Amino acid sequence: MVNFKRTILPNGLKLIVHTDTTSPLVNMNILYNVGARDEDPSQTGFAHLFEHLMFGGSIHIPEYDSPLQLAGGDNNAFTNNDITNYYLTLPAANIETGFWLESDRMLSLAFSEKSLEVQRNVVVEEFKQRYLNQPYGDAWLLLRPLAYKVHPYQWATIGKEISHIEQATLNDVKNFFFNYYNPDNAVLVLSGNISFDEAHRLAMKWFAPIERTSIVRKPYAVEPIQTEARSLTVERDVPISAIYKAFHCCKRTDQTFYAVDLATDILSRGKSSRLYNSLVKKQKLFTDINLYCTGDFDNGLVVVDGKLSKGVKMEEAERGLNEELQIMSNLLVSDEELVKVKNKVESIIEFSEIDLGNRSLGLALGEVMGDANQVNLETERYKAVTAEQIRQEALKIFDHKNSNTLYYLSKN
Amino acid sequence: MITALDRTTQPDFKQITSFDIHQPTIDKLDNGIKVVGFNFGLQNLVKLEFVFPNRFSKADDIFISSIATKLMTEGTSSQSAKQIADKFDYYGAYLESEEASDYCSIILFTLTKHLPVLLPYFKEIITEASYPSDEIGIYKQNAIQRLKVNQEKVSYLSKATFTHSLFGSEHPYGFVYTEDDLNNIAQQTLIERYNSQFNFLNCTILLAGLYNNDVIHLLNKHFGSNDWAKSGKAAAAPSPDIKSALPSALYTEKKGAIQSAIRVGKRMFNRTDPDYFKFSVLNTTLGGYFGSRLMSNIREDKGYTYGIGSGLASMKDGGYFVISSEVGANVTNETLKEIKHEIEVLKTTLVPNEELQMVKNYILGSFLKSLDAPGDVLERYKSLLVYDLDFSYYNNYLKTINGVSPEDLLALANKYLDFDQFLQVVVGQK
Repeated sequence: MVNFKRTILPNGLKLIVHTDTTSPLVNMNILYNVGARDEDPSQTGFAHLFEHLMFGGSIHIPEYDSPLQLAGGDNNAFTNNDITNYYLTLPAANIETGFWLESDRMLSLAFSEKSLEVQRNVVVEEFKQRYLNQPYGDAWLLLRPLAYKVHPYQWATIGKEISHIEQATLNDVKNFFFNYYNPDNAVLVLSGNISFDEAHRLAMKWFAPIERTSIVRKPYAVEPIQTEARSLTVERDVPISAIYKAFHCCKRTDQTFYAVDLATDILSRGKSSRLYNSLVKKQKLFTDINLYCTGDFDNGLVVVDGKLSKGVKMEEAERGLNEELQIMSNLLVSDEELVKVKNKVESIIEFSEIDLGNRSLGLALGEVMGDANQVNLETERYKAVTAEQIRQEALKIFDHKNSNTLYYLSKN
Repeated sequence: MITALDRTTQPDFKQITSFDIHQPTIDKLDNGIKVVGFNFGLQNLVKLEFVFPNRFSKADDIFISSIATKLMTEGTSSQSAKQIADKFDYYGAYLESEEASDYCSIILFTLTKHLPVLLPYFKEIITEASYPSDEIGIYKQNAIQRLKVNQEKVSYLSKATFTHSLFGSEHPYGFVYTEDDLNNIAQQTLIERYNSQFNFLNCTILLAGLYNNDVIHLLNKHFGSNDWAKSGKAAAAPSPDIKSALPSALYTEKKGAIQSAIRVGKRMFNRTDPDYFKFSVLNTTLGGYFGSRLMSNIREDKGYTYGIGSGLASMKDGGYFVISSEVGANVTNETLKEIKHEIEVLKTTLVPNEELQMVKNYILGSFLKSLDAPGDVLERYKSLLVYDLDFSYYNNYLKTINGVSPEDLLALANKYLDFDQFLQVVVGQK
């Protein structure tokens, strides 16, 4: 249970405070409701590049990190297809430094040419390190456009291609900032040793003066229902062949999400899961196999990735995998399996709430999806799922016509 | 009255002048096993960890102990791997293992309410693992494939070359396993290692979370007897010699690599050395945080890399200092030059007071953060265990860190950091 108080500042900024006096720290989390899905198809990777630029100095403060470190704090940020999230932790007595830094960069950035040039290079190196210079690193870059034909989830957060990042101009950056980095488009969460009144006082002092501007947001193209199976075969210099599959599924906020998530847990969470026991242990078709649901704001994917065992043919491996997915679609899961995955979810939620930062992020995500209190309702929603609901969702998702398969073949 | 908000000046902040490390409770089971408890937090869950220190007599000791640990959950005298996994998953618990250089451990994470029902199964794993040969076979197959994938990664290759060259082929710290080593694992070897290492004479129990005293009684009931010594404690033997390669530049070309992995460094003392805390300030200044010299220069000014850092690894038989990064292949040599340059600057120019203050505050803030949740405090305690240290180790921490002067850093840099005497490993293209 995460207790919190919530209010909205006059400029539209949502403020949520979770007080935990047992901690000597305060975690500050600012979520901006902008992600890679908001990008122009000819300027992909922008939301993430922008996250880097947010550390290149703001209008009144030449450097973001130094004053934070001077006050004993540390910070980071991440971008995904839906959101951009910034967070910092400070000793409780020094939290005002966080308000000062974050409000100034919400107000305006320094927009330096040098910072843009350097961060373009840094992101290009990140692109290489994570996606191009790793075995199987480009699989997601291939799978997304296979699964999505019109929706912006067809590109990864890092971008479609390096050239989009290389060509970003300062003017593009400014437009992006003034459109999306706006109090009305953000959620501010404080967790830890701070009272609601103190957090509210500081938020009024530092954030309330920032003017709200209106946001122009294009509607996201709706992905048409897939009507026939798609596949792509590539050959790469990797030691073992792999198979990837992506199936369309629901949104994170749909009521059916909980059944979908439990279905994926039964198939692939932990050493007692079906795919591991059947495909890795018993049939020895794969050395490693994972299946999970992306849980995106728009309709997401259930993704499988598996590395084949030595000597196993791709058709054999795929047949084994499909059989397990068919069983999910045709037969009810046992009571024991259902209790098991529900117990697991309960403990995952409990464990994740040890961390102050996770508590903040959970509240922020809940808020941006409609209700911060969702974090406290999740366990019950999972518990309400029935075996029949899981079967129905599996039947919809694991339909051959709904599949996108990437055969990632070893050249050796 | 409204005063204009001053956005150019940092709000007042306080130095960290004290911190409370949550002191553990110490209990002893009837057979002498020490139970170190951290009973606090908000969530009704526990982390229960059994730590078994490694002992070294030959090069593959860490490798064998690690595999014996990983496979401990793959079957016991009465339960199959699947039955064990079903049981722990059913109660939403996690069964994990950790294989470090100096110890191996088995860890149970669970909601506290399920601990009584899970402990008998946990006991069976720790005292009656059977190492079924078919499970060993599956493990080998899969581990060989994972190794092959790793061998395609420049980061893995550079790390393997670096530690192998630093610690030599006789000491376990320098051992890099091959496909043959995996193929040659014998059931008997694992059973022998299980018997000699994973017994009550070589065990410390760590417990963190919210629980009541019944838990200590339950632990005593299940683990407090003398009947799980198996073959007895292995006799203490001197560790194998460390035979470092001479300082040299080792380059492994990896065709088609678009980034090179760089690792440069040298062998160093471990955390028992009087210079350890002070050196950590020098290390942080150079490459231990986002605002470090290396990050500021090589990432934030030049844009050569997504990340670069330095670190001081402490192990029982000695540590090492390392700077590592993955950089664009075309700027490999430039990066090495800049690393050398940053070290030269530390040896010749005093670190400005303001920067030093920032480093100290950052270190102390991170320390505070690392002592927040019960599991964090457990980890911190565990890192001292193999040195026979406890939290009194940190009695002078705050004072020592705050007392470091720019002159101290200059002297430390000259004493320990000579780039030309470093081992330099590059894997990729240059």
